[in-house]
Amino acid sequence: MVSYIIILSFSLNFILYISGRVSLTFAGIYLVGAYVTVSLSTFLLGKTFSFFAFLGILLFVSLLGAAIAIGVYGGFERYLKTDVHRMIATSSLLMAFSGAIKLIWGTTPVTYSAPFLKMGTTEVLGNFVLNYYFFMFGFALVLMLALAFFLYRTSWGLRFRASSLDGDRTMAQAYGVNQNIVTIITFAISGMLASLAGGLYAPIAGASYGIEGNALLLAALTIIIGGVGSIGGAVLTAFIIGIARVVTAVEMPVLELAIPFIIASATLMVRPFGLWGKEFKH
Amino acid sequence: MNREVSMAIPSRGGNTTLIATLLLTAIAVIIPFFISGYQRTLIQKCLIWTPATFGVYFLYSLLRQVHFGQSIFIGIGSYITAFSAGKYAITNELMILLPAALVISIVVAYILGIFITKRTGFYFAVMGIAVTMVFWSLVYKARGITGGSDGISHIKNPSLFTIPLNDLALYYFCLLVSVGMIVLMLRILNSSFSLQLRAIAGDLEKAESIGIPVNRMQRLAFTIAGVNAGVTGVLLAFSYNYVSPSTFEWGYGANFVQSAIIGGVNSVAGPIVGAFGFIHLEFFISTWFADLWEIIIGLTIAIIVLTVGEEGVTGIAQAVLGKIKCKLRNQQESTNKHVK
Repeated sequence: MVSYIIILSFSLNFILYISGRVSLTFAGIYLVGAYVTVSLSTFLLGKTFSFFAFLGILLFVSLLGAAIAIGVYGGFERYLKTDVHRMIATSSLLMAFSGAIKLIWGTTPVTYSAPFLKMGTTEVLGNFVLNYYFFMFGFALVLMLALAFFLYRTSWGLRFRASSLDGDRTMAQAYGVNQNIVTIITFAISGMLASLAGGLYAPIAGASYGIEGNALLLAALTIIIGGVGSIGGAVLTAFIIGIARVVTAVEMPVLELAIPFIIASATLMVRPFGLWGKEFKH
Repeated sequence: MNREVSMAIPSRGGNTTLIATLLLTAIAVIIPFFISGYQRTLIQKCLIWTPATFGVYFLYSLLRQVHFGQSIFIGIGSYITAFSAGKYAITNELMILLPAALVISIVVAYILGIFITKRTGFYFAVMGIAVTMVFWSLVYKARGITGGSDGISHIKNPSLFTIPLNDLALYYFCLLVSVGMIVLMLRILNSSFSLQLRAIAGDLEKAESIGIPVNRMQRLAFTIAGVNAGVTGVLLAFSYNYVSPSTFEWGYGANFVQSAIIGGVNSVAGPIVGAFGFIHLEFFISTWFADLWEIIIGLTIAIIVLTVGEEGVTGIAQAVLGKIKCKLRNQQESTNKHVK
């Protein structure tokens, strides 16, 4: 749960932070990621399971997500002028995405739970924990570390940060950073993250019609709680939300989805820009 | 940050607005005698949608905020009606239910407004979606009370002052209520309150420094939008005799934003045109290509936003009218010159 929230929320966070653009299509890409992973795995692997084949499928899905994100950005989102327009247009686009998914796969949920069941268990502190959870968590951690390395230790990362909300877009452009390329790569990475989140979570929860609302809710609330543009903040917030949700799911199932919202409301009252966030004007 | 706020002061209830309102009301009054019952229910649905769309329009045109959470209050209104007139059979009296829904919408909207209006722009919109999803999950999971995914059916027909209303009478009641709401909203749009909201949308800090209580104003605006949707909810539940948790899905709330965008947000006729346009679009698409409905509406709205922005149908109409007027005037001037 935690790792899924980390990847998903950072997909939205990354776009907001680097390009200062609002985009809700990431939830549509998440949907595509989940459905394609399930169908492809069932088609190629059936009931069997091989670790590297699954990794390959995930790689393919992430590339697909990046391709969709670039397509949507290049063909559509770059022409939108203001944040309000972007919000309405991308939410409509998200609706179209979910309609297309419904058209292709129908409304009955599809599942592929082989990796979830076949990867075995490990004993931790007397409890048996499925290996798949470790795999997911490791995957998310590696992904986040790679992103952090890219952003803070490479020259391209410097260019990204210069054009982000922390820096100054116009100034970066004046110094010769191609803003077009930066934004396109930002969208590609975001699409990759969103589809990976879908693909990784699909074996656990299956892919069903209407999960995009859930994804939207979790990603947005994580940003509200954690603040924009901090990888550490996103990870910690994902822990908070994940643990709070699991605890309430056991104790009071009715409040399961309400608890992230309650945390977010409390955060807004105390620190309107998020626990680890800075004030950005965009 | 978006600073492109139209600072045009709305006309102070000019004669044209009055005449247009009266004319449209007159048409709506006589039209049930010329059309079939099914078409009447379609128009009734349009009339019911208008207040909720007005709520979205209100927040968009004055505060420049996108309000995806309109479905919360529709759901609240609907479920109050369903509990009272359906499940627990307390009362089906409109004169009790409408005020009750109003009061509960005000309370809920005010409490939610404290959190939601804390931040603007993207966060406002996303909090709207989040709240809808939270309500959806609550209603979905509290199966014992709300019926879960089955919803509540068998809502009795409403009565007004203990006189039971048939379908035609309900149509006229909906017409009365939505015209009343429209007149009320026009009054609010022409008040100094709306000017203060425009000031807030223009520059929040400046507005605060000239003494406008920014937070309170935003909360108030959010509450007004919510109340509109609460009224819509009660009437919707009565005209379908059925409520389901899908009222709380985020896509349903987005439909109202889409109607407002179709109509255009720079003219008071926008929400009315938008509600009628959206419902009829929905009707035609779902009769011809039922499966493609979401794709078509989503792409349509995206293209509308891309090409004409928030001007919508009324904006285009205004632009075309303006051009025609300009051309006519030019022609007249040129002919005058010719005569001289």
